[in-house]
Amino acid sequence: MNPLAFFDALLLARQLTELVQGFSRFEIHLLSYAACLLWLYDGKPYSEWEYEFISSAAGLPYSADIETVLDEAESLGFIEQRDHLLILSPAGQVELDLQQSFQSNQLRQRYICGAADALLVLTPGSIREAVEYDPSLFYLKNRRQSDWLLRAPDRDRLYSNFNELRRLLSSDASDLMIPLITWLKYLLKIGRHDSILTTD
Amino acid sequence: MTASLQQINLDVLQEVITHEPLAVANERFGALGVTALKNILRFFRRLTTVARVSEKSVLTVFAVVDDDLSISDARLRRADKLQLGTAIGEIESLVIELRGDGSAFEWDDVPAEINSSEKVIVYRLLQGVETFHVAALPIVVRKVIENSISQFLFHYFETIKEALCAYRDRMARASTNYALREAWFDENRLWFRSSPEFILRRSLCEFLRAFLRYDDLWLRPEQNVDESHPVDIKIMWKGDNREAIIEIKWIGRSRTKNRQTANHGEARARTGAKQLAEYLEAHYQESSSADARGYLVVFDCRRKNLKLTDDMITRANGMYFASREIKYAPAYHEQRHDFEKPIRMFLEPRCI
Repeated sequence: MNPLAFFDALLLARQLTELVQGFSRFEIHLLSYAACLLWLYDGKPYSEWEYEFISSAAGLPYSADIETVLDEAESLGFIEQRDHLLILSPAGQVELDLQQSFQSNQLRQRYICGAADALLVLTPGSIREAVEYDPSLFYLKNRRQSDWLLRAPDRDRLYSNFNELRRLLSSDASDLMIPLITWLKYLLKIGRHDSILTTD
Repeated sequence: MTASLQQINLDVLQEVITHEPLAVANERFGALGVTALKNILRFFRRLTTVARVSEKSVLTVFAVVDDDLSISDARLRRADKLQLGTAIGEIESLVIELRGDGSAFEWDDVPAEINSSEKVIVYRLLQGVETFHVAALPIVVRKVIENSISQFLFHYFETIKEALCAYRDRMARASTNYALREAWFDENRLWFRSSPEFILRRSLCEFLRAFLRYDDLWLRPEQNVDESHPVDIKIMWKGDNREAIIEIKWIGRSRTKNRQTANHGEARARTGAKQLAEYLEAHYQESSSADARGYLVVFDCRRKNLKLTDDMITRANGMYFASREIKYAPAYHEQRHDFEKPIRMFLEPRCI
């Protein structure tokens, strides 16, 4: 089990439980991917995120490591079903408190929380729609293919795009929610416009 | 499409940034401004648990960024500490101040000190338009969810049925939904355009996507015109292994400029019910592990005595079918545990 993925999943579970009263598994995959995008935005090497993503059959990011840790968390009672969603259980909160004290997890919190805070502005459905408009995911979904995400040259494209985004956000955004929200809204604007053109 | 996304469009990106309140707050106030604005957003999450907004709601929420802005005296006289506990219902008019320590105060009215102040962040909802004033700079909130009065104050539906009924009442009845408006041939909503099926299911799909929580959602592509295939929208929840199968039918008339292209009555809805029941039965027989539930949605644009030359209609003829429910025989929703009662969405015309 990937300990960093485990921490990411538990922290996201708590954030989503607080912000939107629970989560689905797909939302944890989606937001862990968003957090990884913020990691790249900050100029950090992809290899140091420590787990990878593929595009699923539905054309969305998926991580086998995240899926494994969700299974583990559920079997241990750290996450539990409430109505049609999952929530972080009290036992899960205790485990998360412990995990947050680990030095190895300190750096990632900022990226995970930045991604989760996007839910203050966008719904999971809107975040999902925005990510679907990412060129790589869109390409793979249209061809009904699955492949690794964030590999070169796609990763180089993102680094370049995020350099431009950082430049246009003239003030340093200490809160990573800002570049993420901006990027997702940009994807929505461009993607929806192009979808209308395609339909017409 | 991929070409336009491969090369970043700097003009669009700049426009997004210019209209992003968080980015503006960061630029004007730095981390303090971002914290204040996020406090407002977090307050919205709490507010939605006890209140809702409508087109008539007037809501002001403000947070002072610079403590030098003195409204302490006014607060003592004109504001009370707010306790969010009991349900408020629909907001008519509300003025809330959020302080740095997280406490909230309800004001009698908007304090004059914050108008045009450069030391405060103010959110306003008025006539369905949301704005943030960041240091007196107005920023209109651009709608990501077209179907929602507020981009922040909304509820996620807990069930498909709840979501479909809300779509029927809020979006379909008066064709409030922007996507749905494209289905009409005429301004008075007497006729559909030819083959409106994809517009109807895309409109419903966008609404469900915005306000439902799910693992996966599939929408039948536009080019798939197989009428015998009942699945228009499929929604999946992997956690408890559930699926919702939505079949969409429309009844009424469609046309082009010179001729009527379709005239569907109740029989079409009954055909849809049969198709859906057969699909659910096949699904059940295959012993799929997924727990599937079927929903028949009927868009009803029937008008009485409608002629090709008509571009207006009386209220009596336009609303003739408004309350005429479709009779289903067999009533699959009464016979099958996995077949939800069909939901008819009557789309009202503009009447003279």
